[in-house]
Amino acid sequence: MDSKVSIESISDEKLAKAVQQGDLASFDALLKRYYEKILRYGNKFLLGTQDIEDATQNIFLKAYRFIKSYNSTRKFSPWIYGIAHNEFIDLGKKSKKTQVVFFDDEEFFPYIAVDDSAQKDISNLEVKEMLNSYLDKLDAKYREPLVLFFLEDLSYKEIAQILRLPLSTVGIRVKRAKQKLRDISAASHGML
Amino acid sequence: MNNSNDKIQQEILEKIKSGKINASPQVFLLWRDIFWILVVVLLILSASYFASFILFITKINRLWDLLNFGTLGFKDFLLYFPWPFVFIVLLLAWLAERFAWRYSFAYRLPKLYVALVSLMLTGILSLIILATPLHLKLFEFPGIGNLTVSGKFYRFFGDYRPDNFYFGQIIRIYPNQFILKLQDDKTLIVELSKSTVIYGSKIKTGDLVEVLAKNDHGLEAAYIKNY
Repeated sequence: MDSKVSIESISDEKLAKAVQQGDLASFDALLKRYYEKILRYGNKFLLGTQDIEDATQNIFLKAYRFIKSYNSTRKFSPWIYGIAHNEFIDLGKKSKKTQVVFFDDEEFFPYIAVDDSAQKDISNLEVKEMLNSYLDKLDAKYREPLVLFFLEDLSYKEIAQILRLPLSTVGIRVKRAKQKLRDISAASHGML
Repeated sequence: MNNSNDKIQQEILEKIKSGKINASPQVFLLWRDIFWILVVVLLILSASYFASFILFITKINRLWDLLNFGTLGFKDFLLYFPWPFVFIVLLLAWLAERFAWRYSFAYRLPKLYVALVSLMLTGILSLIILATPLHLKLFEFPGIGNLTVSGKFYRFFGDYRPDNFYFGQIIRIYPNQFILKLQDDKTLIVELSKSTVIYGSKIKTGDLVEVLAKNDHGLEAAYIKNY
């Protein structure tokens, strides 16, 4: 890759392909693009957990180690967020911030898929405000899809790929998470 | 970007440049995928083997026939059914499902569907295994007196049935009792009473019958099924 200007205009997917061929400068560019996003995702997902920086470092080292498993015909962001999800889940288990759930009806039963664009248009700003105020009141399983959807601007399809869940489960989880946020917000304002 | 983040990013790059972290070759990733697929296949095959074993062994020890003999038979059926093997089948199928979760064909579907597909696959494969002579050969080979571990295993569960449940041929019949010749050539006197329930045609010498006695100690028949 020749210059900083040209590297910034290259897509994530092309950069990842260049990394697969041994180009470290492209990895540096991806690192710059994603480091803070992944760190923010970790901080929002595992609120108040220590070692998120170390975990983020591990995520990028793993990404480099397994870069050849990335399929460059698909989007890069779900792939790197997928590695981050696994790393943060492990960290969450160690620090007891996430729970091991043996049965989860949202993952077990089929649900009708909900359109994500409609969900976003209705209350994007409202949810973002509530997220900033009440994120710590939500369970990790609801917090994570909300963070990915509203703060990281990923689609349901990408979130489904990251969390390894059916699309409809992501839809139902975001819907329930929003409802929980509204309830928490209403309760804190003495409306319930 | 703050200095701390910048420093960590530099550390990451340094680790890569120093050769501490290397990109795994494609072939390693391919073998890793093949390994996990083989694990899933082996787990499904093992679950199918045990499921077919349950079907085979409950046919050999005639456990399903107990369901014809009222509440007494139903109670014995529940007591003697090889539940640990059912648990093993479910555990293996569950593990297969868990390991298949690495792949998008599994995690894109609700777990209910994946569980149903996994159980259906196990069921179909177990019926295929049951149609082969595998279990029968393991059960009969190498013959009594020189049993292998698998032979002992099969014989143990083949004979695992209630002590008051018999199958044999009537060799002599009396007004209130008959003599039953069992599969191991032993004979047994079976008492008949007014409360004895007989399914099928009236019993006579030469008939093959199943008998469920009222308790382990006496031989008063509660139920008889004539074949």
